[in-house]
Amino acid sequence: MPFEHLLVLSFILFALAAAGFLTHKNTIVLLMFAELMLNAANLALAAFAKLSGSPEPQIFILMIFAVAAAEAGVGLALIILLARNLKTLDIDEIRNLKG
Amino acid sequence: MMHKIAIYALGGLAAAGTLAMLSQTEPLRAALAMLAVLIATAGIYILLSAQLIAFLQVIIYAGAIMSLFIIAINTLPFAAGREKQQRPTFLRLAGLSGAAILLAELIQIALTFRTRLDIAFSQESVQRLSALLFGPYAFQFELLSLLILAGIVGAVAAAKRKI
Repeated sequence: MPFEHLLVLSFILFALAAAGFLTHKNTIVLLMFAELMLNAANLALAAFAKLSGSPEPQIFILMIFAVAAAEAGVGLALIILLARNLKTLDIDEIRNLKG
Repeated sequence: MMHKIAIYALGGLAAAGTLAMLSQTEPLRAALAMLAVLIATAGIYILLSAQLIAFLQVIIYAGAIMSLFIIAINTLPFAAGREKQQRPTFLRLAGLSGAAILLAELIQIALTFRTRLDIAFSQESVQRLSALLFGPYAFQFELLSLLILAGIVGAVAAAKRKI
């Protein structure tokens, strides 16, 4: 099977997730799209591992798993804190830093 | 041949799931669509003979992270409802066209590769992966536990205190 088809699939998933990240309003959904972008990068790494025949790229996938888990934990804690204080999850209404 | 068809089918499922998520206004339904994407990706990993990664994908992503998201959606009272209105049209158009340009450029890059992949299972991929993980990459592996520890401490500290 042509290797570039897997890369194109990974890039399509990445671009769709980026489109969602740029168009949605709910902060929890934004975090989910960020996770999907990491997932698309993992797919490209798995394709490279298959191409090179060595499992070394898979180690990077494991590290991205750990980063994604830590990101989801801390990110959701921050979102819950923000929502508790500002009573909203709408990204367009959270503009305290803009003054 | 079967492998090829399965990879294309699972890839189509993943792309369709992301599209469904993109058009969804209810966070809980978006979470379920994301679950479909993650499990389809796990299937592709198995076909690329990355068995350990596929199982970890199901356990960590589809299990742990998704349940965190669903718990967050269900605990926050104003999270579960519909998003009242979409973002302003020009922001949406700008976001979508930015993503489209990104996609065009990435596909341009991908099409410069002309390599064929031989899709056959390799049986010993887990042994080779763990030999690498606990051999040359042991230090980086230990650093990951430090990252997780920092994440736990950060989450607990953030959840306790008021801003």
